[in-house]
Amino acid sequence: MTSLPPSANKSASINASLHTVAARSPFNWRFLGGLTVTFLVFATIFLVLFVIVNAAQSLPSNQSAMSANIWHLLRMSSIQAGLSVFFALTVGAIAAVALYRLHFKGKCIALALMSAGLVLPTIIVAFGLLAVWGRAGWIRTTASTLFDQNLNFSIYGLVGILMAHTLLNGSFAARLFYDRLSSTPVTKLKLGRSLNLTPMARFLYLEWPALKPAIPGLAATIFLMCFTSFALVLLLGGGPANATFEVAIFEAVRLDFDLNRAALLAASQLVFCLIIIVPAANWNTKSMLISEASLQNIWPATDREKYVLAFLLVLLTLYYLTPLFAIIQRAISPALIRFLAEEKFLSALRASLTIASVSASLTLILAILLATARAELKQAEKLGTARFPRLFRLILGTPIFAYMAMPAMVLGLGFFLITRHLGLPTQTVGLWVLILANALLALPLANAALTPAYEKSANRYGKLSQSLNMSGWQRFRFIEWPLSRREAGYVFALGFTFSLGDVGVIALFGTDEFSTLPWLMYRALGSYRTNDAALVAGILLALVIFSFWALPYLFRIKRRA
Amino acid sequence: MSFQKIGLAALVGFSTLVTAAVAQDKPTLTIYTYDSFAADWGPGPQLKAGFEQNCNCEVDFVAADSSISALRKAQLEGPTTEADIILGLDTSVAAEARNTQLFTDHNVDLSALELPVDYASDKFVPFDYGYFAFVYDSSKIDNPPSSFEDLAAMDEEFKIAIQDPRSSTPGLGLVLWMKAAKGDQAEELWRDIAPNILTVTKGWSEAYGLFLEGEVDMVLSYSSSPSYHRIAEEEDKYLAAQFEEGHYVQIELAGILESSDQKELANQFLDYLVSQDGQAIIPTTNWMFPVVPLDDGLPEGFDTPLPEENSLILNDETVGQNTKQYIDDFFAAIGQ
Repeated sequence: MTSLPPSANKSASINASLHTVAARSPFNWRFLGGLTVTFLVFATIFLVLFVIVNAAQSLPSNQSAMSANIWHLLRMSSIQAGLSVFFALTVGAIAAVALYRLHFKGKCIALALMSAGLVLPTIIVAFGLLAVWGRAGWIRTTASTLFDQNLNFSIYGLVGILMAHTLLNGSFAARLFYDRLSSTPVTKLKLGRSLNLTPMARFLYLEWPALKPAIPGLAATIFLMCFTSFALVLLLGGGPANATFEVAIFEAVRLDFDLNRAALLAASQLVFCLIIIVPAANWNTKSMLISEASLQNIWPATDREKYVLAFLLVLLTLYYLTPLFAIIQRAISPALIRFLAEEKFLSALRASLTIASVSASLTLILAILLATARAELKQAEKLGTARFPRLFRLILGTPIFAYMAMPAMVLGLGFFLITRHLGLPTQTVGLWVLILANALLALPLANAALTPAYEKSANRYGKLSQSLNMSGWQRFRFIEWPLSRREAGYVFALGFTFSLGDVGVIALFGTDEFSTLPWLMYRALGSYRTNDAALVAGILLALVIFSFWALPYLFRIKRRA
Repeated sequence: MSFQKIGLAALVGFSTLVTAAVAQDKPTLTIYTYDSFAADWGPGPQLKAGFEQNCNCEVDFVAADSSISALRKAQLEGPTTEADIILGLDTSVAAEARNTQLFTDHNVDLSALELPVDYASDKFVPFDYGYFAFVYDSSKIDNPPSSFEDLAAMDEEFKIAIQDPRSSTPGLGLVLWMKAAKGDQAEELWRDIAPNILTVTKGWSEAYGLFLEGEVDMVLSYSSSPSYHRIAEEEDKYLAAQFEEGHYVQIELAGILESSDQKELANQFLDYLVSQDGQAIIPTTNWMFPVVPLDDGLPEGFDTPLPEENSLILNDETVGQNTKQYIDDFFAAIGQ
């Protein structure tokens, strides 16, 4: 029984054979589902660029030179993003290993706190970081009042950008790494313990193989997040030396209204990012380490190891939590109660929660479709029936990353034009566009969280399920879903909180019928109301932490089998 | 499965969110503007209420993130745009806006207007103005710089936050201000000021946030910023540094679109906007100076406009033709 399309360059024969095979085996529907998702994402990107170039033709030509040096921007952004990936992964791995080996009360709160930073509007995190490390931050103030020391450290510049990106993405990496570690089969742990492995050997033989499969997707995602980070880079970057690609696009769209250039810049960024991330994102993993997540204390750290790990964990936690604490601290004021009862807050909250729920469901569905398709590919590879596995892995992996590489401003422009072309009312369609955009933006993150579990379960149980002649649905229900429920819960929370964030993509739609929490915050920030903005920021953070804590519970309920 | 329930609940909630506009017999005047103008606390809601009392019409403010975005939106929509008026463009983009050919002549009587600089346009109606200025905290800074030379000579520890001229209106205003005040000397001064620039932010909000957090000693903002703190927060420690060479004037403009089918109504709205009633709303909502002397005077605690000789402006054409060059020169000078 073949479970994969035989050829990539003969689409007709693919379809034909898929149909005949699909009649016998529903496996292929799983593969097709994933292909459809990637095709739709790819089509969206293509359409966006197409309508912009098309619109540029009908508008009076506005060609003018660009003030930014593209090569310089590419170089700076790559250096910055590359270093951010390195630090985030290193810090994430250290934190994950420490969390995994140590057992203490409040661990689940610690896990809920992680990746809370990642999904907040970056500007909130940047200001939190400044409250601690800035020129008027806690550290400098304490040093000068207590010790009369004038610290010469400045957070502005590449240092600040890296600090912020490490904080944002390091916690995300830690969370994913932790999930990978905690699905190590118990038998492996017992074996390792009985062999008396040293802490280092434990890492090399048990933990590193568990972490490795998560690295490609994670690295690619973090790279993209940092490469396209805009407001934060400008805020902490200390000037044009650390400018980003997005500034050039801003200039093209807003200042010059040169849509051709905007599309060209977006396409260049896309191509450039893909060249860098595609090899990483399509790395084939062969890991088989998977089991249902277990929080059992099977192999606790030994004494000295415990102190070293605890010390590292405390340091990282302090670094991570102090800015978040600053955000919460600012929100706690007598005005908070009054603000919580205000109609404009309540309606923004309602809108945000609704959008987030729909986006999160969409993210999860899309992510599962992609993950099952990749598992299918894996399965076929295991059985030696896969044709062009590398190509299909590329097709399944690339478009979802590509979406993230598109500048928000260009996407917003494209979606607006598409809506106009379709003759739809922009004010009402705006909401749906926002939901779709949020879901697609969260997809690489969701994919990075979900795929390793699916691929590993294919590695581990592929042949077994084949010999049991399980259908695709049965495999999902009895193998993949139970093995990835924890990740699914996390992906839902991720999609949920992620869409509490950005609204930039519908800036042109003029949907003033509703407002969301971040919208409320930007509005307050834009008109001197920093106190209101601080309140919203604190509320958003609390909401995000709560979601990461509560939402995964919805997925822990045992299914009636 | 539980998430199906969530999805369902979300969809139900969602349908209540999407409220279709109720059909109206009254004509609707659609005004594209920037976000904080249309916000609850901005002038939008009061102007809407005031104008609707007499016009037998419906005023619909559609907010974009900035006035340039509002213009770009109308450009993208072309002749089919719903917008009748674009409100909030300023003098630094007036030439660009005029070149789009989107605007029609207005017939608003501007003779009662009192602006600090001469400004006349057949396309655009000025409705408020302000000055770009550096704002500082007088409880921390005793001797703020009193000119660009002063600023350039400040110790390196004295830090300012400014905005990127490509993405921010005040950021562009600063580049024009320096050019209007110093001409060919501008680049040299920028080089000397560069060490004092802590960061160049994307927008006004971030830079002003840095200032309020105490991260910078001075921030590029508007001369009326201290008035906000004084009146709305009863806080008088924030002051605008007075520069000897004068301050660049920002005039905010509104224009009627050629494609509008409500030109008559649009003209009436602009009449109202520059009337005593309309202008009285501006100071404490948009924190800008009104374009006509108010019968009741400016609100207590509001700064007074600068004398005419301290008001700088470059004419629209000069700005339109040279903006790109000015921005390039600015970056070349401060670029590390």
